[in-house]
Amino acid sequence: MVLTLFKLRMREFVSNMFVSKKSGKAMGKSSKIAFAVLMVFLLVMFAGMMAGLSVSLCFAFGGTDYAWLYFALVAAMAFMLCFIGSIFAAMNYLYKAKDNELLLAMPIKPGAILLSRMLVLLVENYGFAFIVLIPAGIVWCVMQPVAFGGVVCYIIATLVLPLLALTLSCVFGWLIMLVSSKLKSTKAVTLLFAVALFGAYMWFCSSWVTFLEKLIMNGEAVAAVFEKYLFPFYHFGKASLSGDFLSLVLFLLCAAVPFAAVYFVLKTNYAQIITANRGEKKRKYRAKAMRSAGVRTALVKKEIGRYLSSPMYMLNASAGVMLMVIMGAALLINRGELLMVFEVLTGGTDFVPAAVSAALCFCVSMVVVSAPSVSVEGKNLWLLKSMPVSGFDVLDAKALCHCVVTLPFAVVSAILCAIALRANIWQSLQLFTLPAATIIFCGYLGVAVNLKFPKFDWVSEVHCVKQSASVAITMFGMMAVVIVLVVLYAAVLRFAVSADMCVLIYTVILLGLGFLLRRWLKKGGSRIFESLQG
Amino acid sequence: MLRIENLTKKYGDKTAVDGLSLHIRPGEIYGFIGHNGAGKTTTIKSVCGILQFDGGDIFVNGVSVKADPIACKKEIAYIPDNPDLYEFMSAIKYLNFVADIYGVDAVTRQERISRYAQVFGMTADLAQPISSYSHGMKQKLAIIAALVHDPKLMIMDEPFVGLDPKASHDLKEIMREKCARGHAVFFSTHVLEVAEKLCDNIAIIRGGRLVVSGRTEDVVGDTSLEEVFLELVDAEA
Repeated sequence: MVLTLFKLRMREFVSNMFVSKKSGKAMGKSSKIAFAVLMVFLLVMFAGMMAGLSVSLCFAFGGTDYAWLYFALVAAMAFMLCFIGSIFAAMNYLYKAKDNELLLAMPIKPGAILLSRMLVLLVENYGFAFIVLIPAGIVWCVMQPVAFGGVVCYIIATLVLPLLALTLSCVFGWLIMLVSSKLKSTKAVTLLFAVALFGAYMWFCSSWVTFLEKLIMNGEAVAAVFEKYLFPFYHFGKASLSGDFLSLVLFLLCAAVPFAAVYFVLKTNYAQIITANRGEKKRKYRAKAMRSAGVRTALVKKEIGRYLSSPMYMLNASAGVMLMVIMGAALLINRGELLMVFEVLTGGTDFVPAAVSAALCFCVSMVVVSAPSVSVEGKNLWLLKSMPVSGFDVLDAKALCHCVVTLPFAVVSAILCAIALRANIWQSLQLFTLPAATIIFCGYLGVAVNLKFPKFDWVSEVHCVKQSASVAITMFGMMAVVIVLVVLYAAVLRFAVSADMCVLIYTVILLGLGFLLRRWLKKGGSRIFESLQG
Repeated sequence: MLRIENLTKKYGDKTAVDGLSLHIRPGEIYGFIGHNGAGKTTTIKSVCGILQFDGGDIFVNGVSVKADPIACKKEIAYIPDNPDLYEFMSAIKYLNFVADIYGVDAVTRQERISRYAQVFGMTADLAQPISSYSHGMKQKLAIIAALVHDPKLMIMDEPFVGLDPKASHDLKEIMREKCARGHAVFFSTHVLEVAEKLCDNIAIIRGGRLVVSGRTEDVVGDTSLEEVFLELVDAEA
């Protein structure tokens, strides 16, 4: 039964990726190739980053008395990536899935439903873990002498490590759900927790060089901490370095025993957990004078309401928004250092505002609020289709919502950057206009792409917000656009126009593209929307 | 009020509705009956502009759904068999949203929401998120939302499913009251007793084709609607 359910989940996962919801037909050859190229690009990018980090660690700890710390550290990094990557998926997928009650009504043991869902999360975790541990393993093999037993242990430990992260994700996912349901602002708590995790992740990314220096300087002390408190990673390291069989067994026990315990506890209470009415306090209606609004305002307000109602949607679709503000704040705090970096990269102070503006655009490319906005309609699609509104009004509202929730952050980050750069009025405008044009273009692009790749049969909203083709295509498409524009300037245009003029030209181009997409939504896009079936 | 002319709708090779023609006049309650998969929901969704159809045309108050769907939708209210509403909204926000879309002014919407919420015993629950509602409450909310703009034509797919006896009674009263004011109601149902008692006209379809239509007393004759329905379905089979 577990296998059947697991196959069903995986089929759902594959179908979400490769099957058109409009026609029910598999993705075309060209789409598959484009998708594969995108995935390879992503893999190479992340694996390259991890390989770079591994090289630094290998230089630091290879050949020392505590060389095992290299493996312990990469294992800890893989563990954190798995944990952060799967905690909210665990919460939504294990405890809030739409088909939980349907499955419970069937002659299936709750434990089987739970285990099948955990296995899917485990597969996801393997993806996260391999991104870190495969490059790390290769780097070590290339740079250091290798013991055969160590390689075998490393492979076994790598296959088991995601289980440890999964155990913690399942527990934390349940705890967040439990705590947030007891509080008044459920969504705020979930969002706060997610932002804290994201902040910690960003802090680590931004200061990993310093972090690494400290690690190297205090290698012995860090090794002691791992040995004493983080013993699963200590045993992971010991086993991987020299093929220490006892350490491998201890590591396997560290992963398997908590997993078994958590699975047993959850299995026993699973039906109760997923069917529990968490008892939101009843709000009594008090009649107040009503206010009317126009159709477009109502549609935009509805879109914003949906976006704000889901912490998962907000967090996954708006990571770039946080990055923009963090970048502005970082520029303000570490002005000297960061300006130097920008000057070195761009070859002079004259280019700095334009370069900062381009960096903000890169952050903006990670904001994909509109990319899943058609898909999230799901079973509610009939509402918009039965109402006296044109397809264009609906689609335009989705793009406008993207702009409305993103532009204020563009203003804030532009102000922060302008203060940090001591920018004049023209430069300050540059810091806002180019990111703003990118936001507008991205908003319309997201809607257009989602119309081509809609996904309405999701079990959890997480599937269309995190794992849909439209989100991936929009995000990486936008990144590619920004990179192409920067390269175009650096390679060609800088010989013909100033950086300021180039920003102006790019702003006009992006606004023009946004306008063209909007026009397409009015006719072609609207026609597609009319033909969609939720 | 509603004229369906030679409506044809295909799903791939399968013809779900095949040359269906119906005429619903102002002041009529029109029942639409058929077995599962007969094409009732497809017809209803086509009328409401949710589904695009392959042949024929549909006119609401003389306006073609194909030519001017928005004008037609302004006259219609649709209540589906399974009301999947915006669960992220509270009921009152949802009703306000619907009123905004249909351009109902603030005073009128307040009066209508208050009146119908009272009728269906929903007033105290209007501030609650829709996600906390039961199926029946969602159905009641969908009905209130459908009444907010006082539509000339109400189209309902299995409207009595999930409603408690009092709500069912209240809905029937509202249907009669609307028809008395010259509006029209077109609804599908499997509850033949209700159709027989409530409807002025009845249409029975099978396999996407109209089997019989006309005034209820003419269709039923000396027997019951159940007998007529079974007889027609068996004869066709």
